Amino acid sequence: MTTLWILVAAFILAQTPAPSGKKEVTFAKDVAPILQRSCQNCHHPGAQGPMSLMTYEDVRPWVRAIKTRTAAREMPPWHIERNIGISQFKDDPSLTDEEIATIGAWVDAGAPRGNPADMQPAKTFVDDEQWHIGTPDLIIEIPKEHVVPANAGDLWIDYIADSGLTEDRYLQAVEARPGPGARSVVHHLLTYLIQDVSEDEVLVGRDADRPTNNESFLNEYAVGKNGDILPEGTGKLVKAGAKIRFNLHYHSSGKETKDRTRVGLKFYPKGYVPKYHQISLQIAQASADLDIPANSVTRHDGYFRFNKAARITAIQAHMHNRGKRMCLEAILPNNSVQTLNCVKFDFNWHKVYNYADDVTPLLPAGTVLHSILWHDNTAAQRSNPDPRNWVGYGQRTIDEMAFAWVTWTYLDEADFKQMTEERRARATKNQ
Amino acid sequence: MISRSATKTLNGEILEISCYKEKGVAGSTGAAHIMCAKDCVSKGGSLGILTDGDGLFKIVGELEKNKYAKLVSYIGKTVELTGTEVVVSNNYDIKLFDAQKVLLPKKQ
Repeated sequence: MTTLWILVAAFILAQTPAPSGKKEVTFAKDVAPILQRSCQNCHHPGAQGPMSLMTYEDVRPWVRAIKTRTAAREMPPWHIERNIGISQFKDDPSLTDEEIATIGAWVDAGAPRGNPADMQPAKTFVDDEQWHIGTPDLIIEIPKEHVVPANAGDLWIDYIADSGLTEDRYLQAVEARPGPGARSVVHHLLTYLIQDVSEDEVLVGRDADRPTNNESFLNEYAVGKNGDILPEGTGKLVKAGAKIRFNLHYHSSGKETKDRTRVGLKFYPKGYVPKYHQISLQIAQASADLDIPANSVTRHDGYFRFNKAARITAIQAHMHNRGKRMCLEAILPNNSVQTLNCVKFDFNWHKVYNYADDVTPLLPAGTVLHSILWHDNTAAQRSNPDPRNWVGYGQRTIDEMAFAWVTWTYLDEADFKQMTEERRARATKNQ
Repeated sequence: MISRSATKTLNGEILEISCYKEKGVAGSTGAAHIMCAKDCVSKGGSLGILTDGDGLFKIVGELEKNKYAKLVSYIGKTVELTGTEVVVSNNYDIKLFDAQKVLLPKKQ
């Protein structure tokens, strides 16, 4: 009889959930899918991240660091504040609160591997040489091979290259990328078109700071971004004789590496003229007014008026070492204010945030874009070279800047009306 | 330098960093990779300690001198490394450990 009771008790215990009532969180079942989606693009062998996070064995030595970095939302690097404004973006690797909690619970439980049969198939990565925008019509390289030493400080450098283009063409897609085998040393890069441009395209800012102000932003490479395909009917004129400026951030990997970064351009067919012209400019500037006393946190404001209806497709904050945060709001012609987004700023990551197509801000003519930019010139800002110094505007990294980098197209009134009505109808249908 | 921690001890395996970055744990740890790690160090490669949970630290300071002469024999072994963590820049990269003393744990 006693034996029977022991067996019954054992059966009941086996059926009872763990005291906390929570299921066991394992690497195979719960954590690996998060890493696959949000981490492994940068963290696989040979990629830019300093360690691979592909297997349990790769991840195990980093578990406490992963918990700390994800809980602080330092990793993956995505600085849009999730509770303010628009929340849908392209190529968004950010973690939900639930995913961060899952990682934390897993680490706290001793980082169990779990059942290998629960693992999803390993993520595979496309050949480094494959262009995501399709075969480019024109590939332009930096003019010489750049050698990144095995061990050296980070380097920001510009290269200017002739495009070799002999006729005007309209850009349909663009993709910049490090040279073969150099992904581990190219932290990020920006490309710019240098050519004679119309008034709308001229860089806003201090003209004397550049040898030419006939320069406009083209695109950004950062790990996890796969090139930019412009919205249908939207293009950017690339003129014969245009030059490309590459602005590169190199980072030593421990092994001497040679790089020949390039940008691929794909054009609309000859003779096709897109209806809309894409503009990318530094606007809502507050740089000229910057006055940042020692040991203080400051706010500066910038404004830009859209004279025609506009659709914003991407935003980026630009500051330097003391940059802290930027908010963008649209002051509409009826004086109502719409907050677009707030984004924390970290000089290590010059992130461009591309809105998902369905939520690109549509702004009526006369809208004023208002940028609010904060700098932290105290010791609390880890990247601050010296909080005892006053800081103002300047080109050097130890000087400061403050503006929004915005990509948009101007729309005609009929298209603007149609797009806003379609969006309103979609919102009503989804309610 | 931005900051220096109090003295602490790290436990982990000594490995060559560029090899680890390129090949991950499977391709850079254990006895099978000792010779190639030594070769890399002789050509200027850097040694680090891969801990159980806190990640990889690049070893700098006294034990870095003369191409890690005092550490080379520990490559591929799990050790106790005593020293201070130093932060020299705001870049997200491998952390630095100014190592003063290296010991093999008694059970080895």
